[in-house]
Parts: sequence; structure tokens; C-alpha cells
Amino acid sequence: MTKKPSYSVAFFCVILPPMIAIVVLMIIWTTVKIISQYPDYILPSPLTVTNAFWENRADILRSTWLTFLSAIGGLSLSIVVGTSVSILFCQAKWIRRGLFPLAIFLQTVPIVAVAPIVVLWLDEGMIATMFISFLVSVFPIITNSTTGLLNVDNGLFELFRLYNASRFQRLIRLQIPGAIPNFVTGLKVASGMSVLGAVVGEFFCATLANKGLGRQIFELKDQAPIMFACIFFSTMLGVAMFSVVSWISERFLLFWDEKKISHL
Amino acid sequence: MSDTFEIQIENVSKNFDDQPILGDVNFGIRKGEFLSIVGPSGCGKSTLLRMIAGLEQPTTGKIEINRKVTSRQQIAFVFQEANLLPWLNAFENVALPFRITKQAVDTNLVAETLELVGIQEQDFRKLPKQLSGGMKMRVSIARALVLRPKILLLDEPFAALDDLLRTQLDQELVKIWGRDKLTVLFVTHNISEAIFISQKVAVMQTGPGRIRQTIDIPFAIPRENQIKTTTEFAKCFATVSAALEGSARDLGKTDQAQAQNDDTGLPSNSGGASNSIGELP
Repeated sequence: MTKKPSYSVAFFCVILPPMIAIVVLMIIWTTVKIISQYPDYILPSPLTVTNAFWENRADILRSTWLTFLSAIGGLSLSIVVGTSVSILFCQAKWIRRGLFPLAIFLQTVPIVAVAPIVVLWLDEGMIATMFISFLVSVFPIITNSTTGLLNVDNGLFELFRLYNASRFQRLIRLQIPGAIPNFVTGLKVASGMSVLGAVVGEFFCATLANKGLGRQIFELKDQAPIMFACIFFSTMLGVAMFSVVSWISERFLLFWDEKKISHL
Repeated sequence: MSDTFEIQIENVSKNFDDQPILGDVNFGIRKGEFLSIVGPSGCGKSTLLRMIAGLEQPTTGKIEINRKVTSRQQIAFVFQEANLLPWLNAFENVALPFRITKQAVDTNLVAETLELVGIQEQDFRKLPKQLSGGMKMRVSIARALVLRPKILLLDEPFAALDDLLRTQLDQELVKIWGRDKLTVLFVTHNISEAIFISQKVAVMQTGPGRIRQTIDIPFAIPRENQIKTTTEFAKCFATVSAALEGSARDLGKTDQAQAQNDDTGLPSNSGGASNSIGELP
């Protein structure tokens, strides 16, 4: 076991670098604004955006919460459906051959075009946004988990053969645990995608009960400062989901993995 | 089949993609015998072992296991790599055969077996990534022994370990063999190790693989490391080497034979064998 880094080390290695990056970005942004003299409806300065957020904080935070609910709902559905489908896929080649094109269809279908149809079918509530979030985020989980389930170490596979293990024993004791690193890779991608899906879905949902960040961005096209704040929050929501998912995965799922790669 | 043999191999041959790997292998292993198989790489010694374990099927011929060995579970196999499940700790890895075969885990037996191979209690809960190469191999052997097999097959199990550790594990393996009255079949490409560890050494030849000669090793058991410096040991070494060299010469092609020599650890080059044998005539 590696020694846990102290808090000061964690601060300098993990927290400081992105903070510096953000500060530098803010400086560039402000400089561009000052030099170019663009009006606020084209490019608001960071300060204007911050003010706009503060004035509308209750509204924006509520929208962020709603978007979060859609995204986490969609991601959860993706985890359940994605892992189930990949377990089905690893059972036989003909199943994979038959159904994989459908899975690819999910990935390649233009989501902005499909979203209005989903909203039409499922109504403008959160069920629709969750479903759109699911559509966008399920594919990475399916492909990565399937790869993991099929990519069993040959030596371990022979070990199970040696003891005449049943298919079921092999699946639960070897393939599923062995697929976790790949599953986590898929999950990380999916966590960011789920926010994207939720925001796109909200573009087409005009109800007040489901007025997430996507709807805010859509409605506030002519109020650039607030819109920028909403964009910032939707981005941060994606980052937060990714970080939490990564942390949980590494802490509870990948404790045994020698080759684990941390993005945090 | 005669009752004296635990494993009887009759006219066994094996082709891979119509390429003959083993041709007409005949021999028997007696109950409680410790037999090593040495041979140049590609002679099919691993394939032979895997066929006995049931991991491969012979193309022709048959392999008979003594009737008293009733199930596959009583034949254990140790791979070249430790092949531990990385998400299970040492204890759970050794308990795995119970779980795969849907038996209740005998925790006392698991602990006992781990201690038998020299894993201490404070290391039971360690994950494979926290264990050294030698310890992983020990856990792997414990896993093979935990269902109390009658036959133990080992496919170059210590090839990746350094000399000192290998000799130590060799000695411990011999101890376990004596204690549990196992029938052991040990594949290696290290002549010195084969002589040190076994009662009999079977030398294989290539093209296609068959048993060329079986050599009895006269030393009493248990053996100390010092026997490796005796003249007796050197004589055994010379006999086995000669058999191996002969098998390499049979190939006809000198360059290929040379390549084989490099692999088998003959006295002319380095490898585990040369340590004790370097100065001999």
C-alpha cells in the first residue's frame, strides 16, 4: 500500500494546478474583454458574469439541482442497462453480432434531433430528460464493460477450466470482477455525458418543474451574463460528477488494480 | 492398466494445426513418485502436462489416471505464472477452489495450507499486488494443494524466480511431497533443479516431442543444498546433459540445435545450472 499523501502535498499536487489554470484563464478572458471592447451581450467579463450569478443565485442553483437529478437518473439507468446488456453480450457471439449495431445506433444518432421526439413521447417532465441523458451515456458503459468481460486473462481462464467451473461461476467470480477497470473507464466517460444529455433534453422542456440549466441557457439567449453563469454551472456539474464517480471507483472498486490510472 | 502406475500414458501424440508437437509418448508414473521432465523448449513438455490435467486433449492415444483418483479435483496444477485473482487477498485466493467447486470453505484447511507453504498469518489478508513474486507463487501452490489432491502437476513454476528462492521453494515442495504422499510431475528447463528435486528425470526430445530417456536420481530424500557440489550430482548432471544434447543433435540442423542448447541451460552457458557445475571437467 502506498502511503497516503499529507494534506499539504495534496494541496500542491491536486488543488493548486487547476486553480492556477483557472486564474490564468480569467486573466486572459478579462484582457480580451478590455482590449476588444466587445459589448456584454457578446462577451461579458468574468466580473459581470459573477454579478449576474449572484443576483440570480437562487434560480441558477435550483436549475443546477434539477439538471443534476436528470443526469444522475440517466446515469443510474445507464449503469443498470449498460452492465446488463454487456453481460448479455458476453454470453454468445451471435448475440453481440445481432445487437451491437443497435448499441452503435445509440451512439451515432444525433441527440439534438432525437430529443424533441423523446420529449413529445414522454412529456416535458424529468422522465424525458433522464431518458435523453440515458441515451447519451449508456454506450460507453456497454462497450467498455463488454470489452472487460470478454478480455479475461488467459491464465485465470485456464484456472477456472481446471476446476470445471460452470459458466455462471466463471461469470461472477472471474469475468465480472475482472471487467471492473473497463467498466470504470466507461463510467467516467458516461458521467460527463449524462450531464450533456440532461442539458440537451432540457432545451426542449419548457415546464417550470423541469427548468434545468439547459432551459435557462435556451431562454436567456439575450442575457449573456446569466447565460454564461448557467453554462459555467453546467460545466462544473459535469466536472463534479466525473470527479465523484472517479473517486468512488478508485476507492471502492479499483483498490486491487496494479495498473490503475488516476485522473484526480 | 497396471495398478502400480498412477498415471499411464500410452501412444499419446498431439498435433496443433496439423503440426506434430508430440509423437508417440509412452510412460508411466508410479504412485508417490516425484518425476521431472526436462527438454528443449518446444518439445511439448508443457503440452504433455496440460493433457494430463485435462486442459488439452491428445490427438491420438490415451492418458489413464488411476481409478482411485476419482475426480479432476484430485489433480492439481501449478502454472508458470502465479495466476492469482488480483481482487482477492491471499486467503481468498486459496479458498477459491472450494468456491468454484461449490463446496463449503474449510477455513482451517485454508489457513493450514497457507502456513504449510510459508505464508504467515499477517499476510493472509494481503492483495496479490502487495506480495512479492515468491510469495505469489507460494500462494499459488497453496491454492493447488488446498483440495488435498493426489496428483500435483507443475509447469515450470519457479522459472521466474531467482536461484536462491527457487532452491528454497524446491526444498519446500519436496517436503510437502513427502508429507502428503503426492504423485508429482514437475516440468522444468533447468537441469540442476530437475536433478535436485526429483527421483527420476525424464528427458524429452523435439521434432516431434517424445521421451528420450528416463534417468534415476540416486540421492536420498530430504536433500540438502550441498549435494549440488558433489561428484555424484555432477555425474547425474552430465548424464542428463548428454541425453539432452543428444536430443538436440537429433534435430540435424546445427543452428537450431544451438538455439535449443541456449534454452536448456547446458553447462556451456549460464542459467541456474552453471553455478555448481562451472568448474567441472
